Amino acid sequence: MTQTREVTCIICPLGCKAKLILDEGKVISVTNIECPRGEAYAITEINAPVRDFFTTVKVAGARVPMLPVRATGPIPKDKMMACIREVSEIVVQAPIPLGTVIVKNLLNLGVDLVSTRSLDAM
Amino acid sequence: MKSDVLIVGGGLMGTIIARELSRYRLRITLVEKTADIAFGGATKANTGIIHAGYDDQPGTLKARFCVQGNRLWPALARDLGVPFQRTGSLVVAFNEEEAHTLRSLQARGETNGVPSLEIIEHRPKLRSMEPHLSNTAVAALHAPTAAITSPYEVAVALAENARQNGVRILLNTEVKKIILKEGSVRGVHTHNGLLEADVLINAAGVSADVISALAGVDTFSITPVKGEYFVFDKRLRAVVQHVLFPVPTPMSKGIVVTHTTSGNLLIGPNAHSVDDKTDLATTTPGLDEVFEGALKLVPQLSTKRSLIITHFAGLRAESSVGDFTVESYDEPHGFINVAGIKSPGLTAAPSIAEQVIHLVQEQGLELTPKATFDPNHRPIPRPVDDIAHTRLTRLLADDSRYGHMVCRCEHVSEGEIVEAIRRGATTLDGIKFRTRAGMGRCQGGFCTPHLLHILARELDIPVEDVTKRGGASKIAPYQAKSLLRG
Amino acid sequence: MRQRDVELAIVGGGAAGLAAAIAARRAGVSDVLILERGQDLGGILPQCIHTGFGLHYFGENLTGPEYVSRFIKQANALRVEHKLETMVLKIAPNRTIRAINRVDGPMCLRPKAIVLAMGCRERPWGTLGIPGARPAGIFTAGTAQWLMDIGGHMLGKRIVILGSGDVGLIMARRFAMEGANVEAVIEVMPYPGGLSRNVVQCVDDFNIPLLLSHTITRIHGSDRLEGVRIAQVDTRRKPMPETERSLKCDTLVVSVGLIPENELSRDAGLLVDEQTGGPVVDENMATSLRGVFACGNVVHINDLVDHVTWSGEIAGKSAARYAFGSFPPPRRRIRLRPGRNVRYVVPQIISGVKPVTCYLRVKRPMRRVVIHVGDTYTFFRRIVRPPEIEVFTLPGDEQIKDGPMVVSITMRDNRDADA
Repeated sequence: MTQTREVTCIICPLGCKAKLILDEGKVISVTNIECPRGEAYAITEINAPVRDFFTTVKVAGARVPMLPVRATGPIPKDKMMACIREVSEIVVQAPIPLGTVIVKNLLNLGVDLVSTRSLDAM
Repeated sequence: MKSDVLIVGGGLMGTIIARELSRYRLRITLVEKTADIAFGGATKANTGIIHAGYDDQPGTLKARFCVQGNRLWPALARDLGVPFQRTGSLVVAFNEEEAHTLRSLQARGETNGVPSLEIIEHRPKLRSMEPHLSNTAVAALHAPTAAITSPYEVAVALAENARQNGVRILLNTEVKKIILKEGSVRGVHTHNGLLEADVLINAAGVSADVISALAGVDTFSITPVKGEYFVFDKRLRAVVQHVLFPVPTPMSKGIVVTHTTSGNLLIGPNAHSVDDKTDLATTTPGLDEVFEGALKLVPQLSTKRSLIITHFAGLRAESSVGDFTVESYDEPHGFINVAGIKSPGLTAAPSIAEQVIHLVQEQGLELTPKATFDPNHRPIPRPVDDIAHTRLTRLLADDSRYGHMVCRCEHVSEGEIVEAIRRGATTLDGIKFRTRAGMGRCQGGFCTPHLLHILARELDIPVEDVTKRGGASKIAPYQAKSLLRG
Repeated sequence: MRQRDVELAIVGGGAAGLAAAIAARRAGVSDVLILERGQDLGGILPQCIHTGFGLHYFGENLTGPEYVSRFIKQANALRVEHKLETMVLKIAPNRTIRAINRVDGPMCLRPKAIVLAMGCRERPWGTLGIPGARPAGIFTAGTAQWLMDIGGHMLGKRIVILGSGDVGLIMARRFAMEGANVEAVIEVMPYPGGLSRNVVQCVDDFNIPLLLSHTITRIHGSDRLEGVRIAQVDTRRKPMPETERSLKCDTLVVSVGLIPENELSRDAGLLVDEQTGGPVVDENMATSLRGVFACGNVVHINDLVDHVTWSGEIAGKSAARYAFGSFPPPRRRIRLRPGRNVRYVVPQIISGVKPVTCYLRVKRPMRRVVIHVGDTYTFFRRIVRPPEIEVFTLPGDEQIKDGPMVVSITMRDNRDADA
């Protein structure tokens, strides 16, 4: 059973709309893509799309109430909302140096959630 | 607590009457249905012009009070510490027929007692007076006694001076019923209960007919007539020196080009009646009409659209009577109407207030001057204006927050904002009208978050409850992450 | 009033100002003072919690706060002095700076050199002239971002975004990630304003409708926003009334342009380029006022913070040389004038004799084009788009002629034809 999917490549401003043909879920051809990096991206995007994860968590005792955080590596795209919910109630306590691990091995995805900003205790 | 006088309406008329009455030993209460002074209607949304007085039909109250009022303004502005600039005005004619109208205006003005009117037909002179005026202008009526002020600053200053002199101001208080007994005013019912008074003054602007009907006086109706405006960046301050008018029509004085006392350029208003007394929305055809009208006077504005910073609309109180109503009645006794106050209402206000004092006296109230009356209102100090260095040092020593600039565009300090809250601001707009924070070129983009926090801190309320102008106008109603629960 | 002499004053402590400060200290200026109006160093970056920063400068994919933290750390290590919550009120043509804060009160600074790094502001909703009343619930994107990601407030439940530039797209994603319903992103052009990366990761990923060739024709609500009326636009970008429909929402986030913040520059009498909205600068980031340099978004709206950092480094080095008295006026002045299809080029003035990296904004999207610099240099590009600044480097040429050089863009296959 073949299937055709389209993926907009994001590697460079050309934004090629790659056409991929899959057979039983496996990519068998990629067309309308101008470079190998784009082709690799398109295939990953079909097979196992990942995204950077970044959000805020609440912080107590600092001059501002929100601490920006990120995952140390990309997460599967379909785990985005689960990660959001997982961290939404976290409240950390200042001081928080940049890079502090807020959640180790977030949702068992092999990445940590770390702070991206230093906040002193007020 | 019973008042001698209850004033309905916290706009320009209500506040100036309150302030004038506060010269006397009277118990005075002012009620305003919205969250703050000048929030209600025309007071914060008009052109701010002190007219010379050639527009009005001789023999009308408008004509009489406008010319008198014009003369009273400099002293009033000085006492209140509000801006007042005697710019003069030009009514511009673009053809012979319009030039002819200028001569009628001049004649009418002279009948009304307007000084120094002159018609300028010498085009080079016109160009030297107004370099950016359209070069298709053939003549202009110059009225040197026209001036500009800041109407909401005036109303706030009047209210503060009135309060300083003992007037009780009740905000968020709407009159629902007027209580009459044996043909005389006894008081009013509001959402917050009964307020007793012997004399009731109706200064309710666009709703004056509604209030008057509650007293059984049905002699006029008020149609809201919307006027729309554009405000431009202060970079265009020097585009005009005078207030520029086209030749007037029966409906209105026309779309004006003027700078404001804050240094912005202001164009408008058009004039269209609307059904809804709360309809303050600008409209596409209306804004187009305002821009087209302004282009007639200053064609260069066609390339300046990107310097528009905001637009707004106001509602005039157009009375079916066609003139001001400033009168009392045999029945009910103690009821005074101050209605239909549209242009030249701002100009006429000090003079109308004088007349209202007479009417109050006629109702039988004893007007004993108060020895403690202080006519001087001290405006909130502004560190960035040229305050003498020693005064600034003392100001900063008292409250160092005067050194912390919160509104970048208008250079408004935290000290001023805290003082505005102390003087009664409870909303973003209340701070805006008292300090100008949020009125600048970024229109609150930078300062709004800080104003929210300062209001929450000073009023000891959660930031979620801070509003733009009271009621349902909350700015940031929810807490972080709250929508992710459940 | 406190008077103070200082070697180098920098107005603005964001990415540009920090880069200039660090470069000046490294060049040996001992007395560098940053004047910052906000409560922190970092400018806009602490609230840009998403990744995509530093791909070029560091070769890493950082969030905004991570990127700027590195420069704040360096500046502190180099003992760059800074004053926070300090507003510069005026820069006089003689380079005197009047500023104020609550600790020092009013100040009069006499710097040997100045670097302007004030960044930019957002175009306000009112400039668009879209009719309606004045309800609460309308925010420019940067203000919404501050309120949400620094202030910890949630502004509404049903959001409409106006403008599909990167900032608008990023805010669409932020609202979606915070549990709001993002009803649509409205874009007047027939193509998105931001990078395709952001179209994919901000609207596609979250199933947010991106309505191209649409505009808002009016807003509803008097105390709080209740909805917007939208319509499709024709090829002249005029709304087509028969396509009008209403979208219920309680929040409108407006992302319709950034404006370099140059009131101080204009008041000081600097020559301003009306196309960039910023001061005319040369390859040393020198403005028309001797001893005053400018960098970052105050010069023109950059798309990458990496470019902002590089411009700050140039400005800082130049300001240092000026402060040491070794900054003679350039021998040659070649004006780079924007020609066909080019909105602007920065720097506007080059000497031509040393290599210079130039930044260009095109007027419309084009494919397979040539950038012409005078009759002398050409650069091929596969695609150019207005939201993405084109970067090219001119080599130095001792033999270069004086006089203006027009920078234009044509289709590769025919020099004179339009796309």
